[in-house]
Amino acid sequence: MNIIKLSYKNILTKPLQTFLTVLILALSIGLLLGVKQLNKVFESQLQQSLNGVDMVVGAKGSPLQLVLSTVLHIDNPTGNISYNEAKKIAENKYIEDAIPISIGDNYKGYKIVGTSVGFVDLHKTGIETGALFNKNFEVVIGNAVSKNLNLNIGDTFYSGHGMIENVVESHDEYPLKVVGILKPTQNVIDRLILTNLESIWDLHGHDVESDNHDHNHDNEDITALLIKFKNKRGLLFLPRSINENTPFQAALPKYQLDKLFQFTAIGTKAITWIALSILFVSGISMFVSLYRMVKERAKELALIRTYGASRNKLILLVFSEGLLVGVFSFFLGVLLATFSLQAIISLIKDTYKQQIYLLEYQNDILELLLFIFGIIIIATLIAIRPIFKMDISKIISHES
Amino acid sequence: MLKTVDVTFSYSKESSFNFPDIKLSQSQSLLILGKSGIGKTTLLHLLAGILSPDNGSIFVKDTNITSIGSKKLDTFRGKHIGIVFQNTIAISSLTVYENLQARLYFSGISNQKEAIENILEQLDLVSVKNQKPNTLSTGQLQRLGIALGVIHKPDIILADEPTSSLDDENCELVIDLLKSQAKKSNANLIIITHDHRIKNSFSNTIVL
Repeated sequence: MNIIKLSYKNILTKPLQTFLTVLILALSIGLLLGVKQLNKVFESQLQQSLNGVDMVVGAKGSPLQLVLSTVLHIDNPTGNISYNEAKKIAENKYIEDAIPISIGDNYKGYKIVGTSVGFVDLHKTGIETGALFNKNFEVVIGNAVSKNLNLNIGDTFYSGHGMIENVVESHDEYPLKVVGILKPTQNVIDRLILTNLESIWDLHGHDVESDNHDHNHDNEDITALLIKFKNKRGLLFLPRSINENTPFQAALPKYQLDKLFQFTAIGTKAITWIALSILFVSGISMFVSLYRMVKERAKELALIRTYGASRNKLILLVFSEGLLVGVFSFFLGVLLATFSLQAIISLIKDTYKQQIYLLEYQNDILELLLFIFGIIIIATLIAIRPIFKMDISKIISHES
Repeated sequence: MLKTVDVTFSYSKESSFNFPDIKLSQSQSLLILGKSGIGKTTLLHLLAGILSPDNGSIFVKDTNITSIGSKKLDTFRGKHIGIVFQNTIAISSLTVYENLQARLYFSGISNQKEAIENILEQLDLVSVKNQKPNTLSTGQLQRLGIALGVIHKPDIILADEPTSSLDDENCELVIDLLKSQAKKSNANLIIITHDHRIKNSFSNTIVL
């Protein structure tokens, strides 16, 4: 027998009240942890996918849409721009790299991106097996594409027109051949299929140009240019200059994403406040539970004093009861958060074909654990007040 | 060994008590008789160190319990004093066995198993050792009360009206049990009661 065991036995005698306290405490802990983690994962995932892209130049329209479609590949593009015109912008001395991309086709839901080999460097990855695309209709596939579709070097497939899976129209004259598989990252490139620009143009121009592959591509369009600055000073005037002096639109991914986070932050904040209110209520519930224990079991506590227990031992008894409930709820809450996050992530994986990894959240857990400790200590401190005023003699001689 | 000198206690100006001196040598027993309201339970609580007197000294085994600190008194009480209440108080969430474990734990006594099994045997509680106190019969509860008061082999066993709610037969049984337990640990047995039926069981009597 010891304090913890006695607390445990005491808790077992009031299952309903304990259940209620544990339930709301675990719920609020799970919510707090889950929301925090989701928010962090969401932000870091998007920030990571920006990689070295400082600016996007594309067709006029919503700048956020331009960023989402060309950098994060989660929306439709704003339109097309002339490659020849765009190339002139790329000659600016502040620009280190300008990578053209052309999107609009997919294979089984995975987007096909016509681009240059610089795209791979921009995403800070490289070839895992095989080689980069060299000729028309050769493709390099992201790691997740290879795994999820079980595609390997040498396999061929036909692309479909449009951004989504199962479109009726498919480009079944030109098979695309896998020549390389990229190293895994946690970025959007994992779920892209890369080829050269000419392949995309040929896929779409075949009915005009018939069998001639050697036609020139002088008047072809691209979706956007992904631009990396040599010097961050380019940020100051280049976007404005492009927006005012060219038919194109320049968007800054970082700025657009920050704007997006401001919107999502409202939702996160609301859920966090709700979770904190629930936590507050569960703190009260814990206090009520402990206070009732002190009041209703006053006689037993007095008895324990006659057994030789000091007042501090009784306080410890109350505290350990709170601690048991708190720690149990905490683990339940962490489990709840972990399982929910896993479920959300696998849902995202199924829907967006994007592998997401949870960030480490030991620090969040530790922080929350300390917070819960604080709540237990406060609940105990208020609940033990009758112990200080306890008159053992009076309580014991009130024979019930 | 127990000795009290000039002990007085008052709840208020109207109800103050002057208690006669008590002097008991080792394993001597004492019956304190008196009507209700005369301060019997107060005296018992003073002897147990639950109340502290306004004046006077109480020596238990050469320790003046009125002059040691409250924390020391808690420890001292747990080791050297056992109280048998009129109506048994036990921890409701624990079984009979666990109650005895808890009693020894809070008194700081390890090596519990043998002591518990002995007392269960002696007080005929073996069959109900895994039951909670609220499922026990009156007699079983009374015996549990005695077990909780004596299991730690105290130097003084204080019993408050142990027989008042019992019939003649059980009254005698309880007194015998208390006496034999006191004898086993060489303890002073002090019974406080208004029950005149047990007057003849004790040679040493004080009337308040």
